[in-house]
Amino acid sequence: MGRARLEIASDAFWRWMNGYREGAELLHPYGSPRISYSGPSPVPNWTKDLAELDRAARAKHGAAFSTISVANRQALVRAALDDLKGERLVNIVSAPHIALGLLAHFYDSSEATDLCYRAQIGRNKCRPLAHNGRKPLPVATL
Amino acid sequence: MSARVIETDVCIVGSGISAAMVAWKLSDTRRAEIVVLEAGDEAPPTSDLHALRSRFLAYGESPWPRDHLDDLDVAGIQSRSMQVGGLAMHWGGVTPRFSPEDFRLRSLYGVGSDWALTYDDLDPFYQEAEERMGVAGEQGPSVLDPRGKPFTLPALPLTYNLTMLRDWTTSAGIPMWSQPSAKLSVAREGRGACCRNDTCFPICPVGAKYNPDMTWRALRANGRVRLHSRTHVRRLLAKQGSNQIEVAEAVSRDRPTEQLQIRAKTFVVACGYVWSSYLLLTSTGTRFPSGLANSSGLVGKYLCGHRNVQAFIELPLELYPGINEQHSLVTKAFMRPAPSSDRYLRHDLRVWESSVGREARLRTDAGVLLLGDALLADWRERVKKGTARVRSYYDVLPARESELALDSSRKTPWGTPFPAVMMRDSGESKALRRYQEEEITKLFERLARAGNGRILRKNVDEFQDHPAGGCRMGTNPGQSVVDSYGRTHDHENLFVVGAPTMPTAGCANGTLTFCALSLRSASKIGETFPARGPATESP
Repeated sequence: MGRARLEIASDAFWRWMNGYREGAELLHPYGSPRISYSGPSPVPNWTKDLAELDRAARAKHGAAFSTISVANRQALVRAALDDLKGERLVNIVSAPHIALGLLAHFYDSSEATDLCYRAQIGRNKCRPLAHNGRKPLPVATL
Repeated sequence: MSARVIETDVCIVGSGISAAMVAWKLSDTRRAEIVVLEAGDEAPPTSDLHALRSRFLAYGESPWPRDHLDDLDVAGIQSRSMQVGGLAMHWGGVTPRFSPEDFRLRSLYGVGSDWALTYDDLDPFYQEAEERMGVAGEQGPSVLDPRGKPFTLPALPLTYNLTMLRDWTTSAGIPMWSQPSAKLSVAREGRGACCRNDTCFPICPVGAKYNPDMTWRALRANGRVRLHSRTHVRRLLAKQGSNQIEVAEAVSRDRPTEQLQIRAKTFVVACGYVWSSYLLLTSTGTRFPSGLANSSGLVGKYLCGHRNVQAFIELPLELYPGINEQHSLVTKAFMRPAPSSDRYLRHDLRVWESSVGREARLRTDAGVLLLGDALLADWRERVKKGTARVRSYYDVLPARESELALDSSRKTPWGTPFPAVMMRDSGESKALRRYQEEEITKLFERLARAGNGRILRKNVDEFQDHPAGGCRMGTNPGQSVVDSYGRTHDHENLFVVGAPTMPTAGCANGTLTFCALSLRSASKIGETFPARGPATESP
């Protein structure tokens, strides 16, 4: 992804966490009388996950989680997620660990879709109708 | 309780899309004072749309918060949308016409009911609805898709994905074209052109998709209507010694101790398939113990809709989901029964791009956790094939007992019995259901084979979409509630408009038909009032 994309993704995740509202009315579907509201913020539990990753990093590597190598960080995250079942990326709000929350947030984004397809699709963004029929242009590579 | 009296020419109960069509046309063509009563709140201002959309995308929040009244969770199929603009504030803007056969099912196929009007009767009002809302459309082959005049707006162009998918359906021998939609392909009247940001349902932030609140804003700004939101109509009352409706009794939710009496020459009930019947059924009195317009006993009966069969088909195509996922291909090729079959089946067919089966995932099939580059690499492998979503609505012919009933065991906040919606298939529809769903599945399998693909998954939705009925139209007052214009057989100055008047719900999205019927009703309602001038005459 490159450092710039990583920073954009993590900044967007922080914005999402800061913008979460408990008790907000959620979209209700056609044909259903049920009205639902957003639940408790997942952020407090995710903050504990982050502290636990940091504690594990210090115990195993003698340094803060943010300063150890990517490989070591991935190993700690793998260990933390090992017991979690399921193939699918869950809905961000129900992510049981902050790592899954970050993954769910990024991989649901327009930017991730473009990265995967290596194409400027721009999902959910305003784009000229006239370009509808064109094959999406390739994403610029460095 | 004090009473405040409002005098007007036309009183419209409800402010959804059917009400908007009636008010729009009447105010364009006739000199008549119009009062509109809406129980729900105002719609959010247009300046809020971008922010509301952002919250919806990020958090799944409703872009139309407080669009319902608490404690009105009706049993059965009910969409909780009660605000200025009604349920069409949520719609996807999809506007197919019904086919000519929809209006003559009994005559042509010996099932269901004929309508009290023909496709040709409705054609000019379909056209008018399309022009007022700004429908962008492509005409299909005229033998399948007849229309009196061409669309006035160019069709939404097919996306790259839909072009690929149309090649596929063509190879299977199925002609398909761009789905007509109430989404501007060209900017006009302060509304932006569609910029395919793909949240048509539930919210278009640029005004490309028509919403009824647009009409109300314009009519209110021009002084053409007086719209009272948060005003709940409790009942309609007939004049002493006459069948004419004289008064709508209402209560403002902001001033519950004040009774509001709206006296009008004409009353228009435009509250959708639940609350229209409900208002008539609860407007009881000594002369009308079973409610207004109910001498046939059919108010609340024959609720109708259509079910769908849907599948996701994996195809060896390089597709790019997200170019414009809510736009689709459509065909009417199956809207008349196949000559080779002696059993009744009519359905539409739509095809969309889809990301089903193409999502990023957390683990491999072997259960290995994917992180970082491995996750992205796995995802890229998964998108080497494409997915098409295919869906067919087939019409469900309603039983008489497909009904809105009053449940006295529950009381609304106003002390009246709760409505309960129970959709029931007629005997003929029950007998046909398995055959119909199997035949549609066979069609999907044929499509998959034609594209060297496979069906990833298939489902039948029990939900009956675009529900309608409850005040069915007909020529026989003993077998119907309203005539073809929505005028009740029992009360000369009482009309029901839009969805409730439909005897059957067709096999395509119904909103354009609700609008066309409402405009036709408005043409009849308007005859009582002086014309505004020839320049604004109706078709």
